[in-house]
Amino acid sequence: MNVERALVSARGIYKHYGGIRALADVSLDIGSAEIHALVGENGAGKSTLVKIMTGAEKQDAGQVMVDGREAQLTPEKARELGIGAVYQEPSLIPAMTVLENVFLGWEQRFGLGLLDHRRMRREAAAALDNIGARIHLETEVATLSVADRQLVEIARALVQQARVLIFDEPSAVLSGVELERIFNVIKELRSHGLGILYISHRLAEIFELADRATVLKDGRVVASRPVNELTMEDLIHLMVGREIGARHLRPEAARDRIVLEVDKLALGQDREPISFELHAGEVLGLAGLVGSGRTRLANALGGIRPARAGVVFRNGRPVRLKRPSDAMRAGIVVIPEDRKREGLILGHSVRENLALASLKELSTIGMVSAKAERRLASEAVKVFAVRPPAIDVATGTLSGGNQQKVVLGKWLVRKPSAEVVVLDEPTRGVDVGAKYEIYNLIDALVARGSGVVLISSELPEVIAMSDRVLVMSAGNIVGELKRGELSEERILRLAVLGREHELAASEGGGDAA
Amino acid sequence: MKPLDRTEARSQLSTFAAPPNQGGREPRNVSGSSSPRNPVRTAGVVRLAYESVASTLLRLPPTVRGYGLPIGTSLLVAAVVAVVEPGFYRPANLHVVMQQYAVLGLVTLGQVLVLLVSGIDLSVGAVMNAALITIALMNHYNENLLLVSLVLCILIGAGVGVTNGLLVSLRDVPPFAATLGMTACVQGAILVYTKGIPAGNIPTALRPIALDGIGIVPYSLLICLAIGLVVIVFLSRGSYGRTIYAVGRSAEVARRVGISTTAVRVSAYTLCGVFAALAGIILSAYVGYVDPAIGGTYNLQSIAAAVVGGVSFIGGEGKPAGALIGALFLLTVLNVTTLSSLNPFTQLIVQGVVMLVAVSLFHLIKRGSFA
Amino acid sequence: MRSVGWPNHWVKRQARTLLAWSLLIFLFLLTTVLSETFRSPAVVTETFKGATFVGMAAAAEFFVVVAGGIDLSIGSVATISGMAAAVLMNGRDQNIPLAVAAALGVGLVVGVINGLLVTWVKITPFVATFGMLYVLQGVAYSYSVNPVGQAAPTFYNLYEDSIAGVPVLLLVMVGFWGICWYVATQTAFGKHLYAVGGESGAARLAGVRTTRVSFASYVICSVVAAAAGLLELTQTYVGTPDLGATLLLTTITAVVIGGVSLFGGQGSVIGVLGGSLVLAFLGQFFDSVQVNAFFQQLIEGLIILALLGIYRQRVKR
Repeated sequence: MNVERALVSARGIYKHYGGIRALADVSLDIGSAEIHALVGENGAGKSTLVKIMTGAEKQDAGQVMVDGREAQLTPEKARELGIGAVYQEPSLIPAMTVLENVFLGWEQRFGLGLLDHRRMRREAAAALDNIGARIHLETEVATLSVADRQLVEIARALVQQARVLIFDEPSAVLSGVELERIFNVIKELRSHGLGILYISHRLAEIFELADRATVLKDGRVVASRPVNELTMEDLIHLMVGREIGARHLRPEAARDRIVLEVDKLALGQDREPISFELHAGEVLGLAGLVGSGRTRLANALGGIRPARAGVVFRNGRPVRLKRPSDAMRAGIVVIPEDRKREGLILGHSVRENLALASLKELSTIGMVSAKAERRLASEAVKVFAVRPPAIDVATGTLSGGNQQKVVLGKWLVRKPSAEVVVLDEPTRGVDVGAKYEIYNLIDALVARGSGVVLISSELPEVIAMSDRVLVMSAGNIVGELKRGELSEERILRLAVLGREHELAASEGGGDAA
Repeated sequence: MKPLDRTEARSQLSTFAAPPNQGGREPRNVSGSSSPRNPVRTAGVVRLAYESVASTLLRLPPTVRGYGLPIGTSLLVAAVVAVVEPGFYRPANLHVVMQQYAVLGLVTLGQVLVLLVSGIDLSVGAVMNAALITIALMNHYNENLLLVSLVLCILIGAGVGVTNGLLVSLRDVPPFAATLGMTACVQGAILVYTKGIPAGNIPTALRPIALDGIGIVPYSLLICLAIGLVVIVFLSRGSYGRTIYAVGRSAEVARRVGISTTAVRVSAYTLCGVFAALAGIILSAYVGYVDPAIGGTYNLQSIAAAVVGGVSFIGGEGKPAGALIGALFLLTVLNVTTLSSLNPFTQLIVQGVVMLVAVSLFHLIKRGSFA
Repeated sequence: MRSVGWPNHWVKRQARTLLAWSLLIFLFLLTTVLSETFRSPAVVTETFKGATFVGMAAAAEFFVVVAGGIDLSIGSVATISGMAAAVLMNGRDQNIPLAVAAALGVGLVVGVINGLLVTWVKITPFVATFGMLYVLQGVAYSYSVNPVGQAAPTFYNLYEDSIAGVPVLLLVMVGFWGICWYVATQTAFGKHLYAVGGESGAARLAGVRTTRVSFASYVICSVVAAAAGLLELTQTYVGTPDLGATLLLTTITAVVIGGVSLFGGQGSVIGVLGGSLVLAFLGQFFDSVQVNAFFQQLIEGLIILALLGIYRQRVKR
């Protein structure tokens, strides 16, 4: 597609966050009456591109062109130029009505600031009718389903005369019938001549929906082609293939002792209960897309958000996991995904953070032994190779990788050591060096006989580290792969397509296996 | 409606901004002969000085910053005071300052605990009033019930604190609203019991706590400092202190290491109530008369002292020792104002300005440091 | 077709407002049953008049609270404004314009300072306004501990005057609440207040100038509070330095009874009007059953604590 026909196009966009490259030389066109899919794995740079194209962030280099002219985008400017976006995160005011939200910041008024309610009502109703949404204008947004909220956001973009609409992974928060509704709306919008940028990492829906697909990998465009020239295999090929580097393979776990048995753990309505076992000395990978229920499972095991039903056995005995202290007592440790919010107190010193999970053990009659605390902290800093190796610096000043080591240290220096360690995205936002140290740490954990559950969106990492991988999709475990069967393509296929497709494929002659 | 009645009741009801004690009631020195100063301008100068050294201060380790700032400022103030208001250092005046400090110090310690768990307690003044009234009332009925009345005071303080804590942590009520409502209840209960005309006297047996002492150092100050020491040690070295700071800085992280955030919050409010009750006891021993609105200004004073001492409203930041020094600073400024100004109500302005300037400075410094 | 479900949505959204008004009606009936004097229209009118001062202050607080802030200095603003007006009027009619301008000017200045402290220095709202409360109260007491000044005859006669049989004060209140309702529900600014209080990040994304809106809320609050102080002068004749002492608590109680969330983004002007009338009628009710005036504060405190405990303050996501 040439630049003249494109409504909005990105030209050679670069963006860095700190030292980490998010986008490099990314170009992309959105034409009118076109659905353009942007695909890529987690962390490929999709969200960054969206932020730049809606003016929420500024690119380091490159341009965004609107109608062939370069535009300096701010959120207001983007809206003026007709670029609308439907975000995953809430951008509606829950306590206000649909009508108020649709026209928020865009109120139609007579003089004296008096609102033209009739006109707004009419336009909002028309916009909602247009997309076939039967939502009452006076409904409070807080009471709407996620799908309806997205429809309200679409209506908002429409009354603001958007010509280009960006959808930021609606399928990460929607499923089934609701998603189908949004798809129909999107197709309808296309027929009205709007340009759509549809972000997703679910491949099936690309084929159902899009005219064109651009694949991002590690912040670069690896392909941009019409969808009818692509197959599922091509897309998967294009997305995967990141190098993790050489790693010695750990000898396979003996699998003689079960340290954790999860029996029919119910994590939410309309989700199948989850069951699996974890052996001593085993790394169990937990793969799946963002929103597939992996973190929910981790939080249930850690007593952070208890499961609705089901039993967890530790070494054959059932344990109660109603609050975090229960899990700690049971020897289960969950290293959280969001280390800044859930793992660390950034204003605390490294020493205080490390001691936080071991306060009881470090204290006698309510006083923390300074000596024991320093010993624990120094040991942890040494074992986990925290740099700088100082224990009195504020944790917030450390790099991401070293912060992560402190989180790991906090939980893993606890005595008695936890026999079950759940790591939720332990290497996210961590530099390469620290990554390897974390891998070595996982090796050390299993060597001492702990069982490790490794949640990761980096497939090469899951494959290199795990003895066994469970793949989750839409809150359910859809497959189990043993070490010999592990490949990025197999995992991705399960994660993206779910179990049904796998079954269908194997029944149909196993052509995809 | 009877407007007159209401006005009358209103002056009885004034809980918040009750006028500070007027001349003659509170032991106070006759001022020296210096001219009145403008507290706002003084504050402006302090502010300039602050800003110019702010960048240097930021490079200091937090511990040095936490203690160094208030100590340095206090020394500066002490020197300035020696020049402009030498009367401050007369033993009689120092004795008064110490007696007042014992009260403010205790309230401030409680307030710090609550501030550290990202709360605020606007009911300390009411608890102090309740303590005063309880002592006087029980003395009125039976003069032998002093000890019982003291225990009752502390129970009242604890009860108020527990209620505050539960409202804040379980019902998600904004701390200022919960404690403000609590103030209304306590103050209302006082009115109901006293019918607006407080009866009874402060038993003379209680008064030595504040009036006697070792040399010019009253026992009350010793009590305050002893409690202060315990709080300082427990907050810096005790596991309870660790949980307080953890909950204040990140309730989510604290919860995930098995700390009960509800229990920690409720305990902080409870201790605050108890300390306020103790302060009320000492205050009644010090003033020796019954005034159901005397505690009113301690809400602001304790908060201002804590803020000047480097305690932040965000929670989890600041030290009790800093707050104690902040209390000293505030009291010094107030005393000098009283000594040199004819109008006792300038105190209110000074308190407000000191707090606003202090909190603004901390915010501006912080914004400079966190990019 | 679109009207289907209309009453339902409306009731859901206005549940707390309706509750406040139901409480009011209940109180009204109760008082009428219990007290013979209350059955005279004059007494009812008097009660309404009594609610003007607190009502206005509650409306002032409403604007800040709904935008996610809080103003604790409201009582002392009313005090200072009342004192300034009384002193400047000094019992003479020709001074009224100057006095009114000065009183409202005081509100404007305080509102700007509060607004700057909160939006520019970024001090937590209750801290900034709490400090301001004491500064202003100090100024008031420094000026005089005793009542000062004197309202001009034309001014204080407003309390008793009536136009075509309707008391002027009631007309003022109807106009005032009408304007408040208009601003809050019929203007973009009103919508923005709710948006900023409800979810300030999302409001910013939608193009609302959040800083400006919350700054404006403080200015409005202080100016309206000053107007309330001015209005109270019609009743007290003189400027009293402890006029606003309990006003803060009363306004917050009225706001909470009116169903406004103290976390912002929820509540209605009509609810706050209901809340302030509830307090007025409660006072009347106590008088009618001869409850000691000293009980009133205790009851008020218990009411606010109970409501805070019952009403969920945070908006569910």
